[in-house]
Amino acid sequence: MTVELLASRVATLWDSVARTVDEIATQVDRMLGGSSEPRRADLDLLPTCRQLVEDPSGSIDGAGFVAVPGALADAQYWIEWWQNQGTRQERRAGPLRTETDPTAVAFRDYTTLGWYQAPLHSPGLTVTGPYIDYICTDQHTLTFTRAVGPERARWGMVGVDVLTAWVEQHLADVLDEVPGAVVLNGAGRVVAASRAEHFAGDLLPDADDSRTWARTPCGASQFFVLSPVDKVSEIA
Amino acid sequence: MSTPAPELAAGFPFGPYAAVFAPLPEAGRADVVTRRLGESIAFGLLPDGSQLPAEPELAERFGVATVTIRESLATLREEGLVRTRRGRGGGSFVCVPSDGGLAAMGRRLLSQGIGVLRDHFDHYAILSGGAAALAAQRADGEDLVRLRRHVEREEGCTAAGFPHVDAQWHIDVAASAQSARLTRSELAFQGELGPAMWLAHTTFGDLARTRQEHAAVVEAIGKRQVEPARSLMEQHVRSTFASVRAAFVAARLGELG
Repeated sequence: MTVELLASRVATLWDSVARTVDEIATQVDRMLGGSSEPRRADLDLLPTCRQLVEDPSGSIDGAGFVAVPGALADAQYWIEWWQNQGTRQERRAGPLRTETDPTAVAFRDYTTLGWYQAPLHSPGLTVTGPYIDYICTDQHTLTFTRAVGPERARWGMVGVDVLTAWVEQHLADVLDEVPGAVVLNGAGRVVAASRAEHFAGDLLPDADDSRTWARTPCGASQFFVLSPVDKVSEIA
Repeated sequence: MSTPAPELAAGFPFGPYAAVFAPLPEAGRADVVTRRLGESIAFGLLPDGSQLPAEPELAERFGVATVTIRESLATLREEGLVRTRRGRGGGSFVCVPSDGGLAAMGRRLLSQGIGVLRDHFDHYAILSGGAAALAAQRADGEDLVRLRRHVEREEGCTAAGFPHVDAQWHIDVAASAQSARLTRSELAFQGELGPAMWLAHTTFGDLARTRQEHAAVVEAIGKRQVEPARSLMEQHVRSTFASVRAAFVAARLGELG
């Protein structure tokens, strides 16, 4: 049945992102775990992140690490993030240039943002969006993050940005086989939809109405597949 | 992915100051850098005493050589707009003129011309109104919390702090519209109209009424009233233009600064 196939494809996508984020976390653990006073100078995520961002699949638009304020001995705030600064086909990883000195012009406190807050309060991978990531990708984005470091003294968050346009392309073939199906995030916002009936970022106000939508979970992910309840067969 | 909009091609930090450090239209010349930084400081767009990015970083952002930046900073020091401290913790620091940039802003308004300003504001009103209408359709609970928090913060805001908060609010409405293009347009307008809006809000505006207008737009978005959100936002931008016009006339009559 194709709804199950779609849900399974979404679950696989989630697991693959989770593994990618775990890869970054493993690097951070290696670089910071050996010291009682972790320093940003010990971090070198460029090789890992460049490989992810420049991968021709184009799935990862940005990747890196963001520090919990005060966790690093040599920087109050710290962002180490690489993003695609080339084109979709000719990918080139470059640093996200952002001000981390809180007294300087253009500093912005990232600790209030959704992708920072969400993993602070839940274990494992969380997703923020789809939303307009005007700080970073400047495009419609899904940001996946998880906390890293000892449970009572986190060093920060690791994560990746995935453009919703990429998710749309990646799920298109299976999605279009299930007319009316929608991939939804936990807050009722569309991630992707069959045959362009809805757009990424749209709200589905009746998402919780079980007379309208049948809801299928997607493995370990925070996404759901919604498919229209078959009214004909209901009446019959 | 199409070519990214030029002002964000190098991955700038977002912030109300992003437009100040965006790439320059004509590369390579010290006087162009001086004008960009000088205007931003003279108009009070950067906080007094704040530290400019380091010279190599400025060079990269503006796409010029470091020596060009040094030349420009030397001119700005002579004009009293920048102060340099050497050694550890050193760098270049912003010196806002004692009138807070009023006179310089007024001169800039005059040189733009009121007809050009009106055209910009017509465009801005339509785009902002459109963003509010889309936000009324697409905003979720979290977006509304953020927008309402903005309006709350405006309560305790001084006139000097107001332009920053207003700018941020506009951007968040555009982001709540789930539109990358409208968000980018919003940033572009703030770059162009920032000085005029600053003057309007701090000198000729009615902050209490502006806050009410913001609150009314947010309420319409919260109630998913699409056309009311659009027209309330358009009206808000037109009110801002009315203050800009008052500032323009004052500048022309020599009454500013």
